[in-house]
Amino acid sequence: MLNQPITPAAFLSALGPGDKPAGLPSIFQVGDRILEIGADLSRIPAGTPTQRIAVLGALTTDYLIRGVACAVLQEGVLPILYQAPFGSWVQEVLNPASGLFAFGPELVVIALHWRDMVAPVPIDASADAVDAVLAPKVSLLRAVWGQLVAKGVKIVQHILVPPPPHYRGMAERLAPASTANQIHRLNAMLLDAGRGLVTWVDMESLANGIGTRRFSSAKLYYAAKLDHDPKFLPDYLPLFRAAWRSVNARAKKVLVLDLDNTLWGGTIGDDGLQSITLGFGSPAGEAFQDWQYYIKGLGERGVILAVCSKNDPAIAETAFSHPLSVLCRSDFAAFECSWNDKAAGLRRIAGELNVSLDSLVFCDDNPAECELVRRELPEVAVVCAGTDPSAFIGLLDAGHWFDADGYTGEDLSRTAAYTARASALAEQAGATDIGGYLASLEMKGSLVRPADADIPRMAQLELKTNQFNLTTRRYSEVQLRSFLERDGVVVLAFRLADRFGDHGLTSTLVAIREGDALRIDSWLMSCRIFSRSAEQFILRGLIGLAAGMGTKRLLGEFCRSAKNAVVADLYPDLGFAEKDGGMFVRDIENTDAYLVSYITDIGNA
Amino acid sequence: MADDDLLALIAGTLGIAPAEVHEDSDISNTRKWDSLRQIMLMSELETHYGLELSDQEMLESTSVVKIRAVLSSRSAG
Repeated sequence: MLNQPITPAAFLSALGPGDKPAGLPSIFQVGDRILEIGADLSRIPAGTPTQRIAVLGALTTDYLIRGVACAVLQEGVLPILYQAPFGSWVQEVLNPASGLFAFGPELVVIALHWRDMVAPVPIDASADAVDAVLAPKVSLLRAVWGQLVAKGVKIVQHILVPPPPHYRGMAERLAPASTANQIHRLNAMLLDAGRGLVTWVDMESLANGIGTRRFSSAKLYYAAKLDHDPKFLPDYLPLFRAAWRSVNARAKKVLVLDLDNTLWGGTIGDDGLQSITLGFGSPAGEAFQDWQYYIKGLGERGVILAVCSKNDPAIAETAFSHPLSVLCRSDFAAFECSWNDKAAGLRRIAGELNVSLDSLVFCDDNPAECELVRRELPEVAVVCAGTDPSAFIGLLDAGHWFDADGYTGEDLSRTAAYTARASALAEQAGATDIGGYLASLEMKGSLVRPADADIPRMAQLELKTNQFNLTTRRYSEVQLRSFLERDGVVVLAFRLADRFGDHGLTSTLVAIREGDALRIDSWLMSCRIFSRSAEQFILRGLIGLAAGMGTKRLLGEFCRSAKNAVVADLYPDLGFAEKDGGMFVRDIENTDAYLVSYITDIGNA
Repeated sequence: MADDDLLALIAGTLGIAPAEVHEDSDISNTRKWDSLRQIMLMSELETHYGLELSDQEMLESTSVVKIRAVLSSRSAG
């Protein structure tokens, strides 16, 4: 029989549990298969996306590593795994000749245990005394992180879970030296020290949700040195996947909702506004209303909301005038109501919002619609809400689809900005002359050296921007700050507002002086503001700075990735001539027709 | 077979064919049954039969015979 070449996608799906919740034995078996493949890389078909991941733990990590393997596979990437020898995580990181560095990880997962982290202090020790004994633990972690970051390794780490015993109740809660309070304090100190370096997996909230005594099973610690009962590995997977997506710039951005029986009970087209179930008067109505509050809360926290429903758009909109509706029509940046199939609707939503399909999460009560979307658009995450509205919040929450490392100002105004983009697009559909259209937006921009407070947002953009990202170098907060301290390096932050709303800090650029040239090392822009002449505005600003530095030429660089085709021709479009190897060159005295912008410069205002 | 519910559970948990598990199976003569998977097997037993095993029982119930003994001690109680 001929050996059929197998495609990467078929190879991955043959290995995996798919996107369905997996039980412990199935996670374990999938993990086994992935570990076997890792031992013989020749079995991996060419073109399969892979990532080298090391798991470092204080205790037994055999279950954890299989959970990590399964979770990464569910995200469409084949992990190649390394498990540090039991109890040697510090040596593995601090010794450059360790197995860890011979393996060459791209990502490490660090799972520590409270027993290694508490300090033996008297129970009446003060808060300052506790901080003093915990400080060396923080220093150790800093050293570990420093070694990894220096080698370009991404770090995911577990939040410590405090142990269950509570000794004498309230007295423990009040004592800074109690074991639980030491762990809480240490978590806070580590969160602070790891800002911008570490992506966290909140094991404590997982343990609390399950019950710490069940989760941190004492007998499994004694019997097998497990830090938690592997029975709960299926609950860990979505939590880990959220951290993995975050550290790998694959965050979910948009929640797409069905309407009838998903946002209210009943069918607006059949039952009419007076008869849908929403708000007080019935248990289901109250549950639907709370669910709407939850969705509104997601919107306020930066998740873009959209509708995809089989409905007449005019009738569907009337439901938001229901006196007890929490959501209003303007909460949704895209509103796709038609009788066409939902896969087509989701494609249109992604196009309209200028995001990729894999950043969508689709929630519908109808299992048939969910199945269709799963089949047609496997890159879209699907949450099948079912028939019990009181369970909807828990179902969506349990997927951890929108977990974020921290909120930024832009998160908090994002829906408004996307809604503004949608309105602007609608106007564009009517406008025939692009220049007239751009002028009508009354855009105001500023291009400045970033302030310290801008750095977290810039690092977030570095991580999340996939399309308009010329080199995908993805600089961290630490790297951006170090650029700001160097001579001959230009770091710029761009903000844009228009008459529809404030888009905030939406583009960053890093350029490095090389002889008589200034090389654009990294340039990225939020997809909300492409093709608005911000590109020209920013380049004009950069040319001004380059002239001030006495350089003669600009160099541009384009490194193709899976998602940045949209900027393949950016430099030629801005008047650069192509050299070889993805490099482009442009004379800085050449201010010309390539640089027409419709954005008014408001400088530092 | 009198009770192949248990044998099927063991096979499914270990990821081996049902035919590979029989009354004389134990940790030393069964493919993929090792000390690591022992823990998972015990965890699945707890869930499937709705019981709590002690750490001692988890470590020592390493054969079909011993597992049946634990199960019958519970249902007798």
